[in-house]
Amino acid sequence: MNDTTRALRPAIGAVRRSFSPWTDPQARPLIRFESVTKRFGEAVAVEDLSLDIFEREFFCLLGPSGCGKTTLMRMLAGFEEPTAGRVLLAGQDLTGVPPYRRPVNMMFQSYALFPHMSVADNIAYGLKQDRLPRGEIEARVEEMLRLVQLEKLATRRPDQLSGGQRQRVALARALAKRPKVLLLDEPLGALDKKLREETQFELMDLQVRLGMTFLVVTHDQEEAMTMSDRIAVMDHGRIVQVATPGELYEQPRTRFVAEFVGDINILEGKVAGMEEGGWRVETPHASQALTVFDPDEVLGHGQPVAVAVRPEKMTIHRQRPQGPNVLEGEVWDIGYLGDWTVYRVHLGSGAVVRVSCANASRFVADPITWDERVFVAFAPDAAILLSR
Amino acid sequence: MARRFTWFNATSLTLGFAFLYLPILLVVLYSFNASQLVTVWGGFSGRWYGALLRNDALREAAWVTLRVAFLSATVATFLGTLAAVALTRYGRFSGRTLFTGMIYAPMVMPEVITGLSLLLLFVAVGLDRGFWTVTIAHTTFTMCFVTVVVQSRLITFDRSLEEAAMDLGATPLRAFLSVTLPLIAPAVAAGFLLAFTLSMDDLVIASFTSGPGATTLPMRIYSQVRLGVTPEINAAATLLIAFVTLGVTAAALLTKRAAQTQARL
Ligand SMILES: Nc1ncnc2c1ncn2[C@@H]1O[C@H](COP(=O)(O)OP(=O)(O)OP(=O)(O)O)[C@@H](O)[C@H]1O
Ligand SMILES: [Mg+2]
Repeated sequence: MNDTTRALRPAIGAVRRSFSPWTDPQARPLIRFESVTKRFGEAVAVEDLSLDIFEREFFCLLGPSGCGKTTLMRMLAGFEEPTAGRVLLAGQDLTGVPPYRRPVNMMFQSYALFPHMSVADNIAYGLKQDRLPRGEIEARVEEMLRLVQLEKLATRRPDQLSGGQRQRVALARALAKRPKVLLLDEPLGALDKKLREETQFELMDLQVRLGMTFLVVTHDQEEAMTMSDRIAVMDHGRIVQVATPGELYEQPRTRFVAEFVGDINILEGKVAGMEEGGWRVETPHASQALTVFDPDEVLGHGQPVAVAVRPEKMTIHRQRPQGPNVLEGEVWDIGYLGDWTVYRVHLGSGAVVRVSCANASRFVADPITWDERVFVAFAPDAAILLSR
Repeated sequence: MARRFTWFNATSLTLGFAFLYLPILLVVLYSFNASQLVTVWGGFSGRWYGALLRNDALREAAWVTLRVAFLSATVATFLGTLAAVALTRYGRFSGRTLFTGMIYAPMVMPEVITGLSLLLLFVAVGLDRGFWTVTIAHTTFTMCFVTVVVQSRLITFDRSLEEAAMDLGATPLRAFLSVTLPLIAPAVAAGFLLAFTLSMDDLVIASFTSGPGATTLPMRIYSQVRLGVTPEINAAATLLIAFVTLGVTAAALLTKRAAQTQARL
């Protein structure tokens, strides 16, 4: 850990712990999408979408390819006009405001660095458009170069830089004007895993330090979980759920979200009643009805429903454990990942469930192995009921 | 397909190139002929180039040609670039195909027809034929070549560069001038050189649209040749060939360089 990150650590902690303007009914959003629809000819890219983003928020748009993330961002930057609905920034309607008059800067998916300008000139470009005095421009460029640690490469051209360095230049260029909102379209797409993780934390530091609002597009769910205050999961031009990373993971509202964010086992079944505050679900995958505590769902008797359980919330045993929710099967596959071991267990019903166990000790005398008969169990409050 | 050397290929290649370049080679060769007689070799000499310098009519014509070429190529480059930008950028406006077709049409139109229609136009509007009418006519017919060259570069131009410029606060005009134009400059320069050389060696359109006092070099050569070929004319033709070759080669090199800079990013 270097000195700057050490100095920053407590600051981020304090900000992140107490930051939740979306729960405050009095708070006014900085960015508001109001029933926005965008069509390209016949194709609908964004459909009747409403979304509020607050000042200083680190907000992620997450979704599969082609779900409309870039389109949504381009409507905020001003490169596309909504077919219907409107976009507001700090209460001001942005309809008809051209991109060069919006206090929003974007880091492009392809970086879009100007190939005929040096790194320093790329960063200075936006400041020159504002006709700032030369001294001020130079000072700001210096500061940005320091921020992204590229002081030594100021005179290089973009084609003389590595992918990671280009990404930093693009970031510095977008940051130089200190916009109210910074839009980042897959900012880390071109980086390898290690550099990616480092940069994720750098981005978070930067966002807190500069007090800016970040809207980040990604289709990497881990990246979204790591960085954001809140995440919007999109599918086919609509928002399926907006929530904090924790809520999204532990309380996904639909099957799409549950399956898109993290790994999950889905056991289909039918509601068989309510008992001691828990739902009873009959399923072909278990000999006895499963019990699930999920107060959020209101279900009718006989309604088809899915019991969803994350692999790490299941346990694997040689002897049938006490308590509810026990599945029986045979180990088909074992994946050793170092920190985790993942078992694929083939149930009598034909379904396969994944169970992951943390490898807490270095040596296990008699580990569970291939083709063994095992029992898989989970607690009633570890599962989620999904009816959609 | 294997590219193997065969006598058949070699012969056809030789014959083809001979067919193309032998006449030109003869002109160049005979321009250095010491003899007064055009078809009899009398030893090597540069005397006709000297005579050329002292021939006022030819010198005058060369000067007119250069001025016309420079002026018309400049205007054609400006207009042609604008047309290329409009055609590639403003997506699918109605009638786009028609416009694109109309830009290309002058390239395939017989020169006699282009010349004749321009002549009719100048007569109709009562414009006195001379230096300016040739310049306008050359601008008209070279513009489409500039458009084609610049358009082929713009098609592969990354739009997000311009968007990035606008995102950083540049108006569309400033974005074009500070980002797009420097990057397509080689193509624009190639277009200019092409227009320049096309204007310089045009005879047909110039004959239709020129008037007294604005005889271009190709026109002068043509009229003198009808009275009989003199070695002086060979020297003038050789110089013209040199100029055109230089222009076309430079245009080709610029286009190639443009493609390379693009491939690097
Ligand atoms: N200019 C356009 N013309 C026509 N269709 C478009 C245009 N831009 C986007 N689309 C369509 O709109 C939909 C959403 O595209 P968008 O680029 O927003 O997806 P995305 O979520 O950013 O995907 P990715 O993760 O692959 O970048 C896609 O189906 C795409 O084909
Ligand atoms: Mg995208």
